[in-house]
Order: sequence, then structure tokens, then C-alpha cells
Amino acid sequence: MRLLTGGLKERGVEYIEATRSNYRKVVEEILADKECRLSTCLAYDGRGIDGSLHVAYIFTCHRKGRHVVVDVSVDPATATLDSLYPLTGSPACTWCEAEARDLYGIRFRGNPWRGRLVLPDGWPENLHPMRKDAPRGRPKIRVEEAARRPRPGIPLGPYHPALHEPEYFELHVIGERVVGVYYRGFFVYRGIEKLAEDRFGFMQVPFLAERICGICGYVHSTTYCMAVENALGVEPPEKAKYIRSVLLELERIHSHLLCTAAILHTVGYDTGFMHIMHAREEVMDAAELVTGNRKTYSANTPGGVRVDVDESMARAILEKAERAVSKGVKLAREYVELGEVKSRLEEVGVLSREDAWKWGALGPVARASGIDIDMRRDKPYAAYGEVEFEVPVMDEGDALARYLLRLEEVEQSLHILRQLLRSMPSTPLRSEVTDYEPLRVGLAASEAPRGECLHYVITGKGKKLWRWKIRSPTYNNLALVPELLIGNALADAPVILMSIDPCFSCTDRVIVVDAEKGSRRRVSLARLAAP
Amino acid sequence: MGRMKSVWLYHLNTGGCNACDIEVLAALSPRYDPERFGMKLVESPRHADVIIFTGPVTLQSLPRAIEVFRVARPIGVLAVGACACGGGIWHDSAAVLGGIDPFLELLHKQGIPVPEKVLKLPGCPPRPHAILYAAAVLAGVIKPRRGGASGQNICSSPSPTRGRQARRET
Amino acid sequence: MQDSLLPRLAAYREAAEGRATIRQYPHQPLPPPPGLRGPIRIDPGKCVGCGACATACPAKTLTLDRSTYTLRYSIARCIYCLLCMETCPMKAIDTIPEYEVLVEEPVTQVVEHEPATCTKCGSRYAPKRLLEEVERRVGRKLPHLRTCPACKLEQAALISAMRVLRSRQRLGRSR
Repeated sequence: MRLLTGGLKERGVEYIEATRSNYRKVVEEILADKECRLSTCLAYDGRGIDGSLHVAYIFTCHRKGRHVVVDVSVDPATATLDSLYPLTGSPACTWCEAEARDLYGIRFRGNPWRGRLVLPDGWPENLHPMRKDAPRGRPKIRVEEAARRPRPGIPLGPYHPALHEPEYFELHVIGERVVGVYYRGFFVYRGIEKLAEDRFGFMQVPFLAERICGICGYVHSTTYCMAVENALGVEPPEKAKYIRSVLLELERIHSHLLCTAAILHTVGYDTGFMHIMHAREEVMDAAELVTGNRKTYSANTPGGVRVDVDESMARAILEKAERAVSKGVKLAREYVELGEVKSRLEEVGVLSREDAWKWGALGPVARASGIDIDMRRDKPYAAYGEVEFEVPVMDEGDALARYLLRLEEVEQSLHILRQLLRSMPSTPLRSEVTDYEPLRVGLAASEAPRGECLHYVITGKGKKLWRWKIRSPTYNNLALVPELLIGNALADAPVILMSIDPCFSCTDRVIVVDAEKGSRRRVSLARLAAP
Repeated sequence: MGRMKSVWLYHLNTGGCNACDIEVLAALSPRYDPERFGMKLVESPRHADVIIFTGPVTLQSLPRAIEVFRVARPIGVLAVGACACGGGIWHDSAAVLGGIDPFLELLHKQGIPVPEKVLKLPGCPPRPHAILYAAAVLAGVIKPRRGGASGQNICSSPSPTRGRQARRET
Repeated sequence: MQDSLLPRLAAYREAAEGRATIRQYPHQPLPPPPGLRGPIRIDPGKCVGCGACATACPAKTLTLDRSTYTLRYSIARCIYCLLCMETCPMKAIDTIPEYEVLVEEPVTQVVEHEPATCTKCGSRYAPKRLLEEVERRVGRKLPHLRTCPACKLEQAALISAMRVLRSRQRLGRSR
């Protein structure tokens, strides 16, 4: 038995099977092309197929629209592999290998990450939940014990009053300079990939995918559907592709306006936050009109879409989007000209082009540092091949560049929407998936508001998935934040973090550790940002 | 419980996808203007009258969530979204506790007092209008509307099965 | 900062012009927008208890108890995806475009079905209405539907064995 990878090359994905003795050579050859980078890696339990565990490294050569998968088998007896970190120097590599260690028990020699990445703190040591023979059900966790004895100095809760997800930073400082960062994230680990293997049919997974993230959920459900379509060689009809693109751009507009509002809030300008959120409402109304809900559109199915857009609806969407964008972008540009806002963003958190590339930056974070990449243009999907648009790029790499770049992207999104909605084709809304063959491999990439979003699927028996790997862009962008914070002023830390537009807002409290005196204090982010 | 004049809200996310959280954020924006009811977000749970609870309670977020309830003395809890109300689409995942009901039971077992009023607003995510409505009901600003905004009744079971309810210690 | 005051005031005024605070809400109800996806409602007159909806539900908030053929729906973790509505072969499910919904009971709707009993062994193996619906669609009575799968297997094995015996007898006679 083996995985079915035939036809992948024609469908845009190169698949190389390597052994543990030659995979480094293969990777070196790929990385010799300076346009290629390690994008992510995943592990899977192939013991029921060929007796091995496997690690698949995925490389993206953005400008060439190329994706290369290098699959290495790992002897389950030793479950060890040499890390690619020495070759790539990329935090994205550190993270994906650490995740494979948590979930599959594969150790990577030379990977600098210590401790847990993804699994909760109380999770038993040798329980690797993604292995096919892992016991079902919740393991016994000493969480209740940990809660009963609160330790002094631990923050009340990594929760920010303006909400988003929780997570935990420890900033080590000398004076007012950040010299080290300890990051503990993945408070949102829900076991999604495992659930999809266990009890979900592949037609139900889009609903699971959409809830990976409540801000960019639709891009996840679309990328998943595209990965399945890639695996099975299914082509959605034209109108479905147009509708997917329309919803993707609506989502981009809402996400960027939200990020802009959040940055204004972080620098203390709440009026700006309120006004931009108000302008953004029209875009949410447009989404509600088409899909029946402001967010989590439930509009995708493998092979097509579940919602229709007729002429009057297309006109209504365009009107709302025009109003939202013209108002929101105009205000955002005016507010950032204010001295007290601009001084907090200009020359703050500068990410150089070399660092951005080396550390795996994606999306607006990369583009604001001079890296010209965009999946919509480099490897067109859905209806992006049918429309014209520009990809804004800036060179300064500071928080201000990232802020202004997103506004330009919003204007481009409107430009794309105008073209899509004025030439909507009339075809059926979905193609039937008739031949669901198990063990077919598929990969799809899209440009989420935060960067390249990758989904990798291996189909399974009984109309289910055998393996599903989700790599959202924030994964790579977040991994570089600790590096980015070092050397900057403490008060700039919240602004830098928000300018990355992580798909969560940072901690309410961070721990600040004085590296010289060894003392620890608990500070609220708001106080850090505006001392 | 009479009308609360000003309701200070503390938002607690226990590992949800964020959609509900952004809708909570939207509900605080000028179009809905909850400040006319004296509603605003506070930084510390100690100052909270009402805790807005989202997320299915992931195992990693559990100790922190328990800490919040340990120090807070809220009058009410508003569980927003399918995850908080019933564990959501991943209620059976090994990494997730399953929403506010098992969480309140856990608090009870820890000896932490559970607030007396718990409202559950389903949706994935619910609209900001619905969040405003539920917060207004919790604060005593309006009475719950039978038949809601559409005028149609959500069918309720003639012989419903009763689940266990978390009880408050007196 | 004097230099930024005038543009800022202008910006505020412009922003204020577009304001449309829904002041009367929540005191006055606001009708839901057309097409809003909301909780579902099952028509007990049309439902036959096949359980296709329960199989389709991604959140497992719509469940069919296969020992009693009781369908239960809870709005608590319903994600309003309407897969059940799409899947139901009887078009028995529709959605109420309602957003002012609070979870009051653990189960929102219960639909009970009378199970059919096997004519051979008396066990309950399917809802009666499901069998009637199958017969209605096929257009005639189907006696073999009245036995449970286990008894059907037995019957089929018996019929098959009889056929083998008879063909052997025929062969024996012709020799």
C-alpha cells in the first residue's frame, strides 16, 4: 500500500519521496534556488501503510508559484530525524518540528525548541494524540491540581480586555530594552486535525475548517476544499470560483479594517478604533446578505459553493463594500497622520528584508519589508486569474509600513470586487465529487489576509480524511515575533505585536523580567503601551 | 434582580476561534452603543459585574479561566456562542472541556461560588444585536422576548429531557 | 497639538455624519435580515426518523437515538450550517431566521417515532414511518421490509439453501 501521488505534478505540486540518508541533499538542492523557502512541515503515522512514521517538508517558491513536498520516512523504533533548522535557520521550521514532536513523538536532532509547543501543560508525557493507535478520550490531566494552588507572580489570565485569543508572553528586559522573550501559546489547541480523522466526513470538514479562525475562517474552508479538489482532480464550476473570490475579498477587507482598528486601540487612540469598526460594519452586512451570517459563512463544499449571487445581490454587495472601504480607509489614513499615532508606529519594530525572508515572514509582514509575494498573483486560484490587481510592497519594514500597506490592500480588494461582481458568470454552483479514492494526496495554497495559507490532505477510507494538516500564516509570522521584539523598547512591544496582525490579541498581562536584577513584575499590556 | 444601572463587563475567551470575540467587540462599537446602558469593558475581573464567556474551554486555558472566577464576584455570566453554550463543533475533542456547563460544575467542585445568573446565547457566531439583546436581558434592561425578532417561536419540546444544572453554594 | 486639531475635527464630523446607531434597539425589536440562517425546526408530520440529518450534523447537536428512534435537537451548539435541511429526504426541516435566541432547556425539540417490530422475532429495527415512506416511493407493499436485518439474513440463507437442495435433487433425478 502506498499514498497516491500520481497526477500531482500536473496539478501544480511536486512530490519527492526521500530517505533519511538523502533528504538533506534533496532539500539543499531545492534551497539552492533563492526563491524557495521552507514553508512548513507535517508528520503522519504511516505505520499501517508502509510500517514507518513520516515527515513531509513543504517548500514554497512564491514567485514561481511552485510547491515542493519532500516526504521522509522515519523508523518508528527510533522516531528520530535530523532537524532542518541548521539548514534553514527559520523559526517556522523550529515550530513545525516541535509540533510534530508533541503530536507524533518524533524527535528532531538539532531543533532548538525546548518543552511543549502545542499540547496543554498538564498533558501526559508519552501520549501522542495524532498517532493512529493513541487512546481515545480525554487523558487524566492534573489541571485541577494546578488551579487549586495559584502560584504568586503568575498572571491572572492572559486575557486582553479588547478580546481575541489568550496567550502568554514573558519579556526579559534590561532597563527598558527587551533582551529575551519566552512565549507560550496554543491556548487554542482544540485537536481539530484529530477530530477530522475520527468522526468527520470529508464533506463536513469545511465547517470545521471555517472555525479554525473566526477572522479568516473562510480562507481556511476554501483552501481545504481546494486541497481536496487537488487530491481528487475535481474542478469547481466558474461561478463557484467567482463567488469564492468575492467572499475571500470581503473577508480580507473586514480583517484588515479590524487589524487597523486594533492597532489604533493599542496606541491608545480609541476614537479611531470606534470609527473604523463602525465603517467596517457595512462589509459584515454584505457578507450576511450573501451567506446568511456575518461571519462563518458556511458557504463552501468540496466541489463548489452553497450560496448563490444574483445581479441585485451583486449590486448590493458592491455598494456596501464601496461605502465601507472609502470611509474606513480615508479615516485610517487621516488618523495615522496624527502626531501621537504616527510617532508610535514610525520606525518601530523594523523588520529588515533579509530577516523577514530568513525568518519565514508571510503576507503583509513580508510585503512591508520589501518581499514581493502574493499567492493570488503567483499561483492563481479561484477566480484570481481572471482579474487585474496590484500587489503593494513597501521597503521600510516598520509598523507604519505594515499599517499603510494593509490599507492599500483593502483598496485593491475593492478593485477586485468591482471586476468580479460586474462579470459574474452563470454556471452551476458545484461539481459533484464522484470518485473519492482513499490515500490520495492533495495540497492547496491561498493568500489569506495574513499570508500564505496551506492545507495538505490525504484522503481516507469511508469518505473520511486520513490526514489533514493546516498551516495558517500567523503560525510563521508569530514564530518570528520573539526575534523581532528583542532590542526594542518595552513600550513598543504591544504595538509591534499588533502590527504583525496575529490572529489573536496579546495577553492582558505580560510578565516582565528584569534580566539584571532577576525580579519579575506583572504589567498590563495597556500600561506597557502607554506608560 | 432589578435593573443594573451600569454593567461592567469582563471578556473571557477560553480558546474559541475568535468569531464570537470579534462580534462582542463589534457589539461595543458605535452602531450598537452599549454605553447608553452603562456597559463597558474592564481590564480586571475584579471589577466585573458580568463575565462574557466565549470558547469551549480548552485544557490549556482552563487553569487561567478558573483563576478569573476565583477572583471575580460577578452577578452574572453571559455565555456567548455555540462553543460556550454546548462545547461547539469540537465538544468531543480530547483537548476541550466542553463549554460553560462542565466548567461551572468544575468550579463547584473546587468550592468556587458560581454566579447566580447564567444566560446562554447560541450562534456561531451570534450577531452583535443578539449579544446586545442578551446583555440587556442579563442587566435587567428588557424582559426576554418570546418569539424574538422574527415573531416565530423556537419550538420547545413538549416533554424535554432535563440535564444536570450546576448549583450555587449558599 | 494645534497642527492636527482642525483636520481631526473635520474627520470626526465626517465620521459622525454616517452614524446610524440603532437607538431603538433592543427596546423595539429589529426584524432579522432576509436569508439569515438561524435555528432549525423539524416538522413532525413529515419526519420519518431516517436519521440522515443526524449523520450529516457536524456538531452532533441533532441526534437520533437508534434504540427508540427519537430525534432530539438542541440549539446550544447548533452552528446553523443547515446541512440537515439540505440532507433531509422529506424536506421536513426548515430554518427560522431568528437571532434573539437564548438556551433555556437542554433539548429544544423532540420528535418521537413508533418503531416497527419484526414479524419474525419481534425486535424493533426501524421507524414505522420510514418503511411506509419507502413503500410509498417504490409504489407497492414490500413484505421483506417487515423483518429485521438479522431475520432477513436468516430468511435469505434459508432460501439460498433450499435452492441448492432443489437443484441437487434435480441433478440427482436426471442421473
